[in-house]
Amino acid sequence: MRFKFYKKILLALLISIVGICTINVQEASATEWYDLPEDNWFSNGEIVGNGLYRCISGSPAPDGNIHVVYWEDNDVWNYEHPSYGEGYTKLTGYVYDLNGKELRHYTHYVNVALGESNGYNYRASSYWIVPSSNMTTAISVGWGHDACYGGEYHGLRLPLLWDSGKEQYFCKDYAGSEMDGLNIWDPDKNHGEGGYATNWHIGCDGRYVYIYDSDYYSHFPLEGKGKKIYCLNNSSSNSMYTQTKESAISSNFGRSLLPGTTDIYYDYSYNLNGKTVYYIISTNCTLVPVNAAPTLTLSAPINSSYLSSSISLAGTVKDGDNGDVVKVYCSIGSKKELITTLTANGSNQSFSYNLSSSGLSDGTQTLKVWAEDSKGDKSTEVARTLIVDKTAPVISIGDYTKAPTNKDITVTAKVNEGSLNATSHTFTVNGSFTFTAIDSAGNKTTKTVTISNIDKVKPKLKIIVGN
Amino acid sequence: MKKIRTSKVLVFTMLVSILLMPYNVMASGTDSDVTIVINDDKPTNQDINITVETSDDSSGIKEIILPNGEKVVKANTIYTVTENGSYIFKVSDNAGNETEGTVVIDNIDKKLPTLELTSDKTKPTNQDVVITATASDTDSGIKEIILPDGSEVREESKTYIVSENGSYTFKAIDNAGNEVEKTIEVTNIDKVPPVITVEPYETNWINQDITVKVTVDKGKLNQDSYTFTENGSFTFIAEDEAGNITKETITITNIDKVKPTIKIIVGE
Repeated sequence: MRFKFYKKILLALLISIVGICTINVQEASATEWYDLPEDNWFSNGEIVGNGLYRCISGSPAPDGNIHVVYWEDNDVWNYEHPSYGEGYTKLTGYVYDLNGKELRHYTHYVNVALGESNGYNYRASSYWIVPSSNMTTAISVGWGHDACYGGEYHGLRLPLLWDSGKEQYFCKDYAGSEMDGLNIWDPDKNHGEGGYATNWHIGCDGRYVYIYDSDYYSHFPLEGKGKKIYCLNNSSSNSMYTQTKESAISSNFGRSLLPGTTDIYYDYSYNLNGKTVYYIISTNCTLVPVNAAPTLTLSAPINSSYLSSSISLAGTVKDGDNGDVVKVYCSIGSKKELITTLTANGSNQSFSYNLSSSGLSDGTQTLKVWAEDSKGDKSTEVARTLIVDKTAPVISIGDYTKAPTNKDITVTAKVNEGSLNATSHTFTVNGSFTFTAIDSAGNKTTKTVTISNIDKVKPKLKIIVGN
Repeated sequence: MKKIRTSKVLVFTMLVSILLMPYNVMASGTDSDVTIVINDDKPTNQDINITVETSDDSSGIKEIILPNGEKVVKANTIYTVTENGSYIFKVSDNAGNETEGTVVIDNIDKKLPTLELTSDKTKPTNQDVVITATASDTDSGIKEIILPDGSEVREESKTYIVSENGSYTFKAIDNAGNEVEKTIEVTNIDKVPPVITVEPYETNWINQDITVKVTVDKGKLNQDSYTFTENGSFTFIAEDEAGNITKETITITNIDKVKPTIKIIVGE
């Protein structure tokens, strides 16, 4: 379908798209994209046929999940489409855990604006995606520009990566340049088209999504995380973006994204090579309160602890969602046991557990402890290497005289492992002594030696003189 | 029966025995594990049986080592002592503990006592003779002396007076029962006075001296004749070795050497 670029039409489209861009959560099955290399976005951005373009975004997010995003063009035209198509581009994000289990998915429909310049067809769309159920995995994916420009797709080449040092997401464009935060769009910069390098950031503190312009607030790129809500803004260094932070807030160019349904709408245009290019950014997001995954710390046991008959587990679990039912589990070998069930109160809640070694074989095994809340979120597994040793040490008693004697008797003992309370004991009188051996795992063996052949008492002599 | 239990008692008893009693059974043990029982510590001229009884509550008795070195693998035994001496008994248990006890036997006296008889006169005498019997016994001591008349005298020395010659037998007995008998012959007692025999002499009137001669059966005479030149008396005295004296006085009255007087009275 060809598309004439008229503002009226565009406005009409805008009106229609606003309603369409409501997040539509759909069920989806786990995909096979989990293991695709994260640094090979371009080659992995494949056309899979029937208008489906797959792009994978996915370094493990701070929560350990894998994000996979694929682009689905439901209108087919944007697949090597020389004509100016219109319609919607559907972007669906899937979130998987490290085991490949799908945690959630979210779908966003993106409106498309198309233009023409210098004989090139282009279209532009910009969107960001707010996860439907987990703000900690908020993702914004860049702008798709000039679908056929050079045969390359731009927007989806920007992987969503997490910089643990900066504690923020960052993107790489297709040329490999790293940009702080989420680069919503920067095609021209990298293509020498006179664009600009404005970094729009989208972040999340687990509770709120915030979007900000790092150029403008470059001195505190993430300041206020969790406290302040930033709005879409621009640096005003370019005519494209003229809104200030304040005006953005007040003028609906950007707004706080608080839980609930929030409209974000922004359209703009700029002059590109003498032509006015219009962009439309619009969305309607339903923000839901973040379900904070429980966090778990394990104070005991420490790594390389020994496990004989049982071992004490202790730690704390915290879940920010009051009232969530949190279950703490542990597993070792083939055993999985429920440690405790708590009702979250937002604070650290202690737990302790006595883990039995029953059913475990001697050897090194990995103990895993984790918490799961009633909403399906799971803490990071805390692992400890345990040395299972259920075998008691063996005490060997050295030879000692068992014949009657009037001398002290020294009994020696050896143990095949661990330590003894005494390696020898000298009996000066008859009696018993217990050798106790304890190995590193706490297995205890006792062996009692009883001596009854010491006779230091002189015999009685009665001499009777005469009859 | 005496029981000596402790070493203190033992030592005390030993001291008392040594100091006060010439004959005793002295017993000593090395410790309180030794018990000495003395049933009879009187002097004896018989062998003494010593009974050894041992016990050990723990490892048990291994053996008894007798004073003569013999080892007896029993808990009890009897050892016969034939002479005085110090006898060491040892007992060992199976654990090697030893107990030693010593018994000193010094009440065996098999030696005869000595008996010496002496008389106070060895020459003939007309007196009683005193026999002194002196007995001695260096071991158990003299118990008694039995005199010839059968009387028992609990003395070590006793005099016995005999008035006539004879054979006198004494017996000395020591405390262990050893006896010795001795006889002394007394022959020097002579209490018979000598007999003076006066030979016949003139008993008629005679104006001559009269010599009277005597003889004696023993002993010596002061004179064996005496001549009376005038009337008078003379005593012959005979004395024997035993001192018996016999006197015989002869009185002569028949000598008349005076002429008769004639008184012629003329006149009256």
